[in-house]
Amino acid sequence: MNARKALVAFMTFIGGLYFILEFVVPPTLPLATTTGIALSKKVPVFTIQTKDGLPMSVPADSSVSFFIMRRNKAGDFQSTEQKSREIFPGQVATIRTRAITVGAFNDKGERLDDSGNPIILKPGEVPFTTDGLEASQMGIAYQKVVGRIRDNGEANINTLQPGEIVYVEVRDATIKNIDRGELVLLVKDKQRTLKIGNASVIMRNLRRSQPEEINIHQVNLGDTISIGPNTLFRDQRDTASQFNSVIGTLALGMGLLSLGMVNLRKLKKKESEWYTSIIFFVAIVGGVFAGIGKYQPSGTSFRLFSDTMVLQIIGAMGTAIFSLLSFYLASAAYRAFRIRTFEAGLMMVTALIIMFGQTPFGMYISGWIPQDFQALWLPNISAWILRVPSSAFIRALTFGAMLGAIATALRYWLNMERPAGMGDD
Amino acid sequence: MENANWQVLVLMILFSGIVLWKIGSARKGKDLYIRPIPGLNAIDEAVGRAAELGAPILFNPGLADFTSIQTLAALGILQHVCKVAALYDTRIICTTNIPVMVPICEEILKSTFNEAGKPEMAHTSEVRFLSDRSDLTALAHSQILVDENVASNFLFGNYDYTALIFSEGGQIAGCMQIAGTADYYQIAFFIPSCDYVIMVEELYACSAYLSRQPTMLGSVVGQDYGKLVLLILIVIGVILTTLFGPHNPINLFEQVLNLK
Repeated sequence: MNARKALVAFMTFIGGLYFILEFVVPPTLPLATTTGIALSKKVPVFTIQTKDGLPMSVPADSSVSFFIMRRNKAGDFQSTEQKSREIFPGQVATIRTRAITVGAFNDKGERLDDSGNPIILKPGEVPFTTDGLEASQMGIAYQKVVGRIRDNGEANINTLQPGEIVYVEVRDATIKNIDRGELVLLVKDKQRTLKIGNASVIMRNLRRSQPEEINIHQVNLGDTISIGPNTLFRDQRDTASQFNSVIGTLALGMGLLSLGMVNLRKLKKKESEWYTSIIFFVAIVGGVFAGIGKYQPSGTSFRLFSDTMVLQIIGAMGTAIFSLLSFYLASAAYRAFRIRTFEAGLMMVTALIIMFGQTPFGMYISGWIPQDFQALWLPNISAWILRVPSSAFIRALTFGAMLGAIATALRYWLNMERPAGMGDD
Repeated sequence: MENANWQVLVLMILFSGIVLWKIGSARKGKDLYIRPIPGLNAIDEAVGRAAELGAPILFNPGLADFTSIQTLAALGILQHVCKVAALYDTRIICTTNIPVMVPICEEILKSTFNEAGKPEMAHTSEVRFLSDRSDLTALAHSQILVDENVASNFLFGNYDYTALIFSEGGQIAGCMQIAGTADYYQIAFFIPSCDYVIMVEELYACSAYLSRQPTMLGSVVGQDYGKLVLLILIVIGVILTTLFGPHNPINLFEQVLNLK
C-alpha cells in the first residue's frame, strides 16, 4: 500500500470512527453526569444589544427562540433555530422574544392582544408573522399585496385578523452576557443545586424511549433529569455536513462547465437541434441576471425580471413536468395490471381491493354484507392488506436494506473495498 | 435523540461481527455461494444489445451525492458497465444532477477505459450534468434517450418521485432497462417500466456479485447470516408476545397465576 492509499484509508477510518462514536457515545460525559428529580429551576437570562445599540435583558423562557444565519445545502444563507446552549457571548443572532395572539382594537384605535392589553413593543423589537417567512416567494408577494407584511418582512399588526399569532423578534442582536441559570435536583434524597455551564447538556429521561435533550425552561417539576458536560460529538455533525456543502457548492462550477462543453460541442458540430444550445447559453445569462435580481428591492426591473423567471417561467415549467407523471403513471399501471400470469392477476385483484377500499365506492359495493361479517367489507380488507402483508413486506425490505448498508459501510470503513472512482489507482 | 441504547449497540456489534467473521472465512479460502441475481446477469446482455445496434448506453447513478451508500454501490456498477462497454466498443453516456458527481464519474470512465487499453473511448463517452433539480434531470435524461437513440438504460441508486419519468422515458424510447434502488417506494414504479429490477439489499451486494472477490462475497454471506439472526429473533419475539404479551387474549401468564 503506498503512502497516498494509506492516508486515504486512515482518513476514512477516522471519519467513520467519528460517526460511530457520535452514535454510540452518550450526549453527556458518563462519570460527570448527575441524575435526579427536578425540584425547581432558574431560567437563563441573556443580556443583548440591539442593532441600534440598545441594551435588553431576555429571560429565556418557553416563548424565546434563537436563530442564527447559516448556509444550507444549496449554499444560501438560511435562518436556523439554535438551542439556547449553542448561543455564546459575541454571537449575532435573531431572538424571538415572545409570541402575541392578536385581539381586537380599543376605542383609541390601539391594537390589543387576546388578553385585552395594548400591544407595546420595546425599542428594537419588531413583529413578524411566520406565514411570510415560511411561504414561497409567491406567498410573500401575496402577503405584501394584501398588506399583511411590509417590504422589510415586518408584520403589519393593524391588518391582521384577531386570533392570529405574531412573533416579536429582535433581529441581528449581539449577545453580550449569558447567565445560564440553575436547576435544583433531588439526588439520592439530598437536594443539590446545579449551576448550568456553557458546556452543560440537560437530558430528560423517559420511561418508554430514549432520553431527550431539552432546554432548561422545558424542565417540569418531577421530571427525571440528567445534567452533565457535553461530549461534543453531536454538535460537530453540522460542521461535517457544512464541509460537504462547501465542496458541493464548489463543484457546481464543474457541473456547469460540463454542461457548457456539451452544448458548445453541439453548436460547433451543428448536431441535430443545435439551436437548443443557443437557448441554453441565453438561459445561463438570463439566470445570472435573475440571480442578481433576487436580492434587489421589489419594484425594480431587475427584481421583476427575477420574479418572472423564477415564479412564472421555471415554476410553471416545473408544474408541467410534475403533471407528466400522471400520464406516465397511467401507462405504467396499464402494463403492470395486464393479467398475463397468476402473479399479475393477484396484483390486479389486490390493487382493485385497495383502490376501492380507499374510496366510499368500496363501502357502497360491499355494504350489503351483514355486520356480523364486517371483516369482508372492502375498506376492512383493504386496511388489513396494508396493515399486515404490505407492512410485513416493507419491514422485511427495511431489515435487508439495513443489513446491506452495515455490510457495505464496514467494507468501506475498514478499507476492504474502495468506492469506484475514488482513487483505485 | 438518536443515540444508541444498549440493545441497538448489541445488535450493531453482533451484525458487524457476523459480517467480519464471514469475510475472514472467505479470505481463508472457504468456498461461498451467493444466489444468482438476474438483473446483474443481464448487464452484459444489455451492453451487448447496444453494441449490436451501434447505439450508446445511458447510465444514471441516482439522485444523491457520493455520501449515500446507494450512490457508491451505483458507481461500482458503473465501473462494471464501463468494463463491459470497453469490451464491446460501446459508447457510454452518464447523466447526473449532482455537480460533484461529474469528476467522479469521469474518473471512473477514464480509468476503466485506460485499464481496458481503450483510452480513446474515454473521449467519445461522456458525463453530463443536467440540472440540480431531479424533475428537470429526469426529463433531460428521457430526452437524451430519444436524441441519442440509446439502446440500454441503466438506473441505479437513490430515486425520488421522478423515478417513473426516468424509466417510462426509456420504455417509450424502446430501450432495454435495468434499474436498482433501495428506495422501496420507487421499486413499484421501476417494476412495470424496466426489464430487470434490483431490489434493496441486492443493490448493496452488486459490487460483491460482480467482482467475485472473497472479501466482498464474505460480506454478502454475512448479510444473509444477519438476516437469519433477525428471523430467529422475530420468531422468539412472536412466541414470547403470544405467550406473555399484556394485551393478548390468551394470556397464559395470567392464567398460570390464577391457577395458583
